[in-house]
Amino acid sequence: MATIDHRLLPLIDVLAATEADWIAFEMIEELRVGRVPEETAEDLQNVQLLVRSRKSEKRWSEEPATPSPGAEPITGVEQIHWAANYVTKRVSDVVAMLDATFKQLDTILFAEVLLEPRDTISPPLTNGITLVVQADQEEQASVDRENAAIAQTMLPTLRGALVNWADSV
Amino acid sequence: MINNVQSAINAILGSVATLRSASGAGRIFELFIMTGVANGLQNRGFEVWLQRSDGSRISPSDPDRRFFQRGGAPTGVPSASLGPQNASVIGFRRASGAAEWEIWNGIQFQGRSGANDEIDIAVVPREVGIQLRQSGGLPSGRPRVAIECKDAGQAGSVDEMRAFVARLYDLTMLRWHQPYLPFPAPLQAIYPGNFGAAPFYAARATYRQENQGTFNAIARRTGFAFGAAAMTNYYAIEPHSFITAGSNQAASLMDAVAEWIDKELP
Repeated sequence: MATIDHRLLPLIDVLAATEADWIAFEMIEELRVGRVPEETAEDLQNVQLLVRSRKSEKRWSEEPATPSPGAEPITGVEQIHWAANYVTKRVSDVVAMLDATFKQLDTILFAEVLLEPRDTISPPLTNGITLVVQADQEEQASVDRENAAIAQTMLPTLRGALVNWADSV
Repeated sequence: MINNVQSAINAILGSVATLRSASGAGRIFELFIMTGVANGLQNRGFEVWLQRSDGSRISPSDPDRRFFQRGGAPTGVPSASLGPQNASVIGFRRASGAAEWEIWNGIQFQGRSGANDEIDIAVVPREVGIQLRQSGGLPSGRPRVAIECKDAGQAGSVDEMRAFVARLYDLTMLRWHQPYLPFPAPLQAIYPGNFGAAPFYAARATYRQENQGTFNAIARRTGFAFGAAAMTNYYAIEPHSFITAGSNQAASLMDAVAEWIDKELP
């Protein structure tokens, strides 16, 4: 189990100051555990196919169970580059999923129009769905496709800033 | 240098305020999967619609086209009389006049034990939703599709799988449970609603039959730790990893759910 490199503290401070402390918590937890050996994509796909086939593999093996390999710690300066990459990927992934969600919601919304006779279609439709996510304390945060697009445009800036910071540490 | 990082994060979170909440990213993940499954159904020719919490459809020409995602602690289905500003759902049917279904996000189901078990993404007969929206409440029994969404960074553990198996176990209503449950015979797999004697909705004889007669999956943004997939086949739970926008794995998950629905649902 690794200890947190003190040079990560400025990044953790920034995440807390920008109300993205949840990323800091995730990052610290992952660093604490290290790189865990994972099931391979092929094994997972095999299980999916087995489930769909409704066939059972033998459940008990006479072979001794394979012990789970231990986690590989992430230490020293590697933590800095790992953390910069983690923040970039975490934010990029969620923004990309938000953007994809809007596309998917709009596809559902506007598909209805295609089912209607042409002459019943309303004036040009420029705006799609606004997503309202209710937060834990019942506060509501609204976000629309334009917001997601703005966030997308900022991703290269974030990526560049994190790379520069990691290189400077 | 670090100031530039702060400015960039501020700009992104300023546009997407949802991400200032600890659970915001997880909710986006769930909605991404939910809408992806719905798109998969559209591609297979199903009619799909967005539906407010009062049961009305969201139309492209409506001035209010807000889709609400559940807030706060997970709850049951709110009463329609509370208005349209509670959690929205996605409805679908194969064709006009065919059985209608709803895709729910983050709804609690009541288990046989009396405990409430949240299912991140559930597919249920629309009749269940219609009945519950009359006065609000929790469904009992097991949805026909149950997807556990894990937006966590760490690889999924075997304990995560166990927790999902336990939740589904508590929600499963089998024929021989009938004397111990407050529902008349013949027992159904899910309540409320009356599905007559239609075999598809009937409680089954064994857990194995119910596990194999429903679609169950754990969908993760990251991977599964070595050993976590060991019990998945036995309990008929599909493990899906690296679900992110544009990934082959995400497309495969959406397609698997849509295909199962197309093949199995009446």
